[in-house]
Amino acid sequence: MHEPVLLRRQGHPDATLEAYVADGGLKGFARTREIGQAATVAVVTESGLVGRGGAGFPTGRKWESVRTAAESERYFVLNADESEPGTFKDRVMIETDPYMVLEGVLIACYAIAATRAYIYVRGEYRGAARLLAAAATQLAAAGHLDGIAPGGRPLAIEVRHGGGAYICGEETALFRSIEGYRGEPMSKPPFPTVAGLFRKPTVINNVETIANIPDILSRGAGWLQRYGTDRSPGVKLFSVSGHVGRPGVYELPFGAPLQELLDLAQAGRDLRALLLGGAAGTFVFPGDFDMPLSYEGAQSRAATLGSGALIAFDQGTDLWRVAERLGNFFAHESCGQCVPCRIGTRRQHEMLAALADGSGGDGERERIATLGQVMTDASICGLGQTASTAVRSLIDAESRGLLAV
Amino acid sequence: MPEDDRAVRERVRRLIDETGRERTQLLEVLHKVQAEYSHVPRAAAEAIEQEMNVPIADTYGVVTFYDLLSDKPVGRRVLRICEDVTCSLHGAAELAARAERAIGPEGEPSPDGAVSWTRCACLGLCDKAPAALFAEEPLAPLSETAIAKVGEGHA
Ligand SMILES: Cc1cc2nc3c(=O)[nH]c(=O)nc-3n(C[C@H](O)[C@H](O)[C@H](O)COP(=O)(O)O)c2cc1C
Ligand code: SF4
Ligand code: FES
Repeated sequence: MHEPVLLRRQGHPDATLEAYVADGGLKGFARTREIGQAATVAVVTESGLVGRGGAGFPTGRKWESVRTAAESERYFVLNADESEPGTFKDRVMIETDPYMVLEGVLIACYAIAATRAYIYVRGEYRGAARLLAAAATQLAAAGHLDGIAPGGRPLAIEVRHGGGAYICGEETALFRSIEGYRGEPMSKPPFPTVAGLFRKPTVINNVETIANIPDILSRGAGWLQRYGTDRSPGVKLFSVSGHVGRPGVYELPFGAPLQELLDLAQAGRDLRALLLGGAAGTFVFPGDFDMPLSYEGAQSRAATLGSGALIAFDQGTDLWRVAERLGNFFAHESCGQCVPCRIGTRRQHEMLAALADGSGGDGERERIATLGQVMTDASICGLGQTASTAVRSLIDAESRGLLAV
Repeated sequence: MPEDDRAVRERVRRLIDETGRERTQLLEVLHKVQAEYSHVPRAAAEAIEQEMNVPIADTYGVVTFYDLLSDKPVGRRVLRICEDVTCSLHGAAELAARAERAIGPEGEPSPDGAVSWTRCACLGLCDKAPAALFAEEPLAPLSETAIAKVGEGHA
């Protein structure tokens, strides 16, 4: 039985600064101040932590490029825009332990000498935004933000509220949103570490990534590797919903079998399939429920963990109806900037609606797959590139006879 | 200029004073305008142009981009019903149909302007499906009774 690490304070009645400090909080930050910026980044790099926002990029590498950037104006952005369908782990992380998340922000800002920190919370998460703002106020009042910003100034932390657009979780769109524009992604390079928010070197990290930081500093570079696998060290938060007895967020070490997660969430034995990784994820069928929940384990079954969302479907579920919902999501959330994605997601939704209604013509599946390939090849951001991933995995499963009841 | 337009401009100027006049504050200012007027009225966009130097076209470009902002009045309190994957397994479509009967056509404010309803994408409340927000706070799991109360103005 795994003892939670990130969620170890779940169920604690009061998330106050005093309670957090009494429970060993802010030790990681103290360590950071002791060893300095370069050594802090080195610890994060050595720990093997990779981003939990979906892309899986090594966190220390990002930090190091901004730490050593030539420009003195640089930013840290906390990505709390969480809008991937089926994903709610960042909300639960913030609600459980807002101070641990903010301690991670302080360490990151100190390590990269950030001019300012922005916390971008999706507009629908009013409660989480209030918690983070209140925690930041408490930390400031207690003097914990003093001397973090360059020149020994106190760190300014600004909480920003998203406008209700999934695409603003994409890092360059998120920057545009903070700057006061439509949240339209930009092609990369340049990467955020070179030209991010306000075109300045920027580190942007997901909430769960940052929640790992305080322990990595206080317990040392080797700590994370006590959990998980060689290639996926650490623990992962999974959001489980759909046809399960106990939907919620579960923490497991990487590499735990998928069936263990299903058991924790009290999934019945009559599941037809899962959608793993959110709208841009893949369908997984019972034959693969022994899959290890690690990046390499998912890859070996042509699946993806993505943001760690798992939606369960029982035998009575019409998976083409689910696909139609996914098509609806992408058609609604495309920012409209590139033609293949703007038109493609709409056409894809129409074709999926036809399939769900049983009125799809001959060759509809092939057309969907072809369209998906075009979107993947010709879209500038991850939304268009992955808008057909789940649907294509369903078409593929059907051709392998996995949809037969 | 009609008297109420003048009042709107004055009010929006004050909102900008307390929020900040740099372009980066635009979304925060618009959130406050939306909360106050249930949409972003033309006079507000004019005040933003004067005070923040953001062209009116840009302001509406931003307003129409984001689901939580609108260029036409919505209800003072909006019921947002999630129609995404998990919630659709738990009766989202039936609840939307119920909202249509209890409150009226999607997006249209009730005659007294108090409420409106809309479908929306995943709210990150899938563990409490079927999920909704009412006046920006979670209302989950959403029930037919809760919708009826919203329709009758008792929520
Ligand atoms: C369409 C799209 C939506 C995204 N949404 C989110 C999101 O809601 N939260 C998040 O942390 N990352 C999201 N990302 C990934 C970010 O662009 C970025 O990689 C991430 O915030 C980096 O943090 P990490 O390295 O800590 O994972 C999204 C990416 C794409 C393409
Ligand atoms: S791929 Fe889609 S969402 Fe991404 S920039 Fe292009 S149109 Fe916008
Ligand atoms: S699918 Fe409805 S809240 Fe996530």
